[in-house]
Amino acid sequence: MKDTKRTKALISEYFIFVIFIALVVVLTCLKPSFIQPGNLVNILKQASINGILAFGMMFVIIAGGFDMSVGSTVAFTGVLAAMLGQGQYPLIVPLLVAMLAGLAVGVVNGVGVAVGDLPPFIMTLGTMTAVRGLALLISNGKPVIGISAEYKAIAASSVLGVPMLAVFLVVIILICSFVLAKTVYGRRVYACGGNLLAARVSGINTTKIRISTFAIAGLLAGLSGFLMTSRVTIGQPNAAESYEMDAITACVVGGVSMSGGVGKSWGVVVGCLLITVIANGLDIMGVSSHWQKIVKGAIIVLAVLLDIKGKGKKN
Amino acid sequence: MEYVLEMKDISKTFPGVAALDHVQLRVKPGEVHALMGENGAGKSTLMKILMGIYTKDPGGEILFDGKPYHAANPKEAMDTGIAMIHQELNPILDMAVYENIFVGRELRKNGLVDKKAEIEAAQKLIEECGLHVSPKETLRNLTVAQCQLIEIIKAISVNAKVIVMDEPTAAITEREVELLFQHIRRLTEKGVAIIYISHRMAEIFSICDRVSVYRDGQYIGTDDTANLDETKLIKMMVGREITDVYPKLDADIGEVIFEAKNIVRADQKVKNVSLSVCRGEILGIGGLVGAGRSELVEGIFGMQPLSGGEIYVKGKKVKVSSPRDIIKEGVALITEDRKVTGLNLSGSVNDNIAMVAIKKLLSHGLYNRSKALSASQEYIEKLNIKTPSGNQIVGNLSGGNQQKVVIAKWLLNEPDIIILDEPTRGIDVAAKRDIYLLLGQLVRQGKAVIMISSEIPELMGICDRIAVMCEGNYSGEVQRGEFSQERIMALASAIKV
Repeated sequence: MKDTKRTKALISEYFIFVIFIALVVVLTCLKPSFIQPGNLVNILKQASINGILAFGMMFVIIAGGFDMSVGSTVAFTGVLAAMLGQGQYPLIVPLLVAMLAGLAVGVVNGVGVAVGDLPPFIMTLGTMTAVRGLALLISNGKPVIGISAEYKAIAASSVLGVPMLAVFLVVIILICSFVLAKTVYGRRVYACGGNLLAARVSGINTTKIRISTFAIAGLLAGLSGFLMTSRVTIGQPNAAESYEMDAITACVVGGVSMSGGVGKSWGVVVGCLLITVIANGLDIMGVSSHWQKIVKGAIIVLAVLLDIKGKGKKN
Repeated sequence: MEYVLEMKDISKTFPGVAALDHVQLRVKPGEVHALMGENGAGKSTLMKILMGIYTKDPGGEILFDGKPYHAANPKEAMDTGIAMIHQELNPILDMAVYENIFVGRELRKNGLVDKKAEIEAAQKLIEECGLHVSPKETLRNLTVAQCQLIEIIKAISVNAKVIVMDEPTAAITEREVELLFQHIRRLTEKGVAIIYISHRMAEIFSICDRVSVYRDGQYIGTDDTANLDETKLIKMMVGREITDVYPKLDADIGEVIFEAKNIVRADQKVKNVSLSVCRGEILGIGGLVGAGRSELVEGIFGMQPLSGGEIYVKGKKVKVSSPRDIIKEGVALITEDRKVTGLNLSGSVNDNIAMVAIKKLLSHGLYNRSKALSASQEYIEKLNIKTPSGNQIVGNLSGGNQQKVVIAKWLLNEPDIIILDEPTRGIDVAAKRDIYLLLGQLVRQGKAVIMISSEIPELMGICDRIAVMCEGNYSGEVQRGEFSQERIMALASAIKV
């Protein structure tokens, strides 16, 4: 009796994982080519940029915030990196500049929310629009071409068969999971999102914590911008449209609560893989991209609905 | 040194309001010092200044351990040795017990959180407190009382010299209050001073050594509890003598107007409870926190599904599947938590009063503003709601006046049966008295009132009959002639007498 109860609790806790496995099995049965190593590498590549953004987003959402601006930041920092990555400087320069620019956007967001007391949605909607403008301004509205071969090689290369982009993703996942689960800082991020007032009267500097979560999201958006330019080999000011939505989707599907204070790293990993696998699976089955959007939307709602229902029964 | 804490000549002005006007507080080591005063007297403001949540106006000084003290934020206050248990402050529900206890001052090993040490320390603290929960349990799965005790454990574990407790017993049962008092005594023996804020007179007299009273931002005075009695204390708080704390108006009791038979809730929080009430009667429902009283009336009102039972209003059987079904029959429920289920806090008094009976305020099918205004004006006067105008935002009113707005909103719908869940919780003496008188007038008009309350003196003061619940069951009832605190407590804890 007690065992079945525990099993049920476990299943409801890891429900999204079960859905993911089921999906992989179904896709493999429908299209055996899905499970080919070549395609798996492809999935990892596709998942990596969204994954890095999703982990930044995860900090913000767990602390009770929300960030609409990361897509624009990816485009802006991508253009910056393309302009500096033409071979005139060592590659570390465009990388650092992109990450610092992202960090700056994040700090502006954080200060607006935590100090200016603006709703996160409004503040980041503003920066989303303004930063997109910045990307267009510095590139004159045209793609920046001519990045060095060395820069292009980052996304194209692989280590022991694992694409370099995925290596970046894994490193980011490990760092973020460690910070959230083991450090005092991580604990306080959860506390801020769980109950901001309680965190404040417990002596936590909630302003600092909230700014820092936006800063992390910005920093990782800068890294993503740098990697994306390498992947597509141009700095495209109109790129990364609605990437923030994909990052939010990965978090929410992965069990991060939009009201803050709840969320686990492995959930976001699964959430991120889940939406990539859906896109990839539909692609190799030859479903049109219009239909893909409809299916993706339906699956997001369905996954979260099943998740909520599963948890509801536990209580 | 006589005092561990001295606050002298403290003022605090908010835009347009002087919340504190040159007040003082002197606390001795090892004493339990009560802060008394009605809502808006300035007790909470004074404590928030102490904790560094508010900054006092220039002038005045605070001495802690004889040295000048200033806290810019709660962390500084705690580091200096002052901790506070906040009223109505929810803990972090999605965190585990041990995480809540150590939030903001996490135990570390090599710069990382030392989870193992935290769990062990939490386990020890929980056991000392006589609580039976695992430190790893998530707070969401605990009862309100258990959460409250976790807050208390957290404050105690800071090793503070002064602990402020703001309404610490609001949500816990008698047995847990006794445990809390044991803890307080243990702390005071060690020389820790407790500043105790509560509206419950009985607690003040049983645990506190001295009392300081405030009224409208002014300091009234400090005295030993031994020199005071309830009447004297109320006089200090209210500024005038209230001899009749529980006014009871006579009314003729008529025929049965409302009956609920064998109510069982689908979630088993209420198991087979029946009750009935007559015209002209005030029926009290007593019991401990968690006895299922609110759950019973929420079930009757269609807010939660029932798995059994019948409801009769004026002799007619009513099938209730949502609140609409029973509101139509002339039943009103004034819920326990006015801020969550009672009011639109950012709406005006007028808007709130118009919320339920909006159909009465229409002309030609459209909302008629002037009708709504005159209706709301009528109830503002009838219920003595203290507000600058009907356009005032409800969130800015005091608790007592907010509660009156909730009642007004339902009265406008002219119900015959009015159910109130803890209608006087957290409101001041004068507003309480207004509400008792109002209930008396309502039953005089031939309506029936059902009132849930955790304060037995209040039930005994104004009810004609008290039904008592215990652990989801009906455990008995007492007629007005036979009221006694012991009898009701015995029923509430299901002890046979």
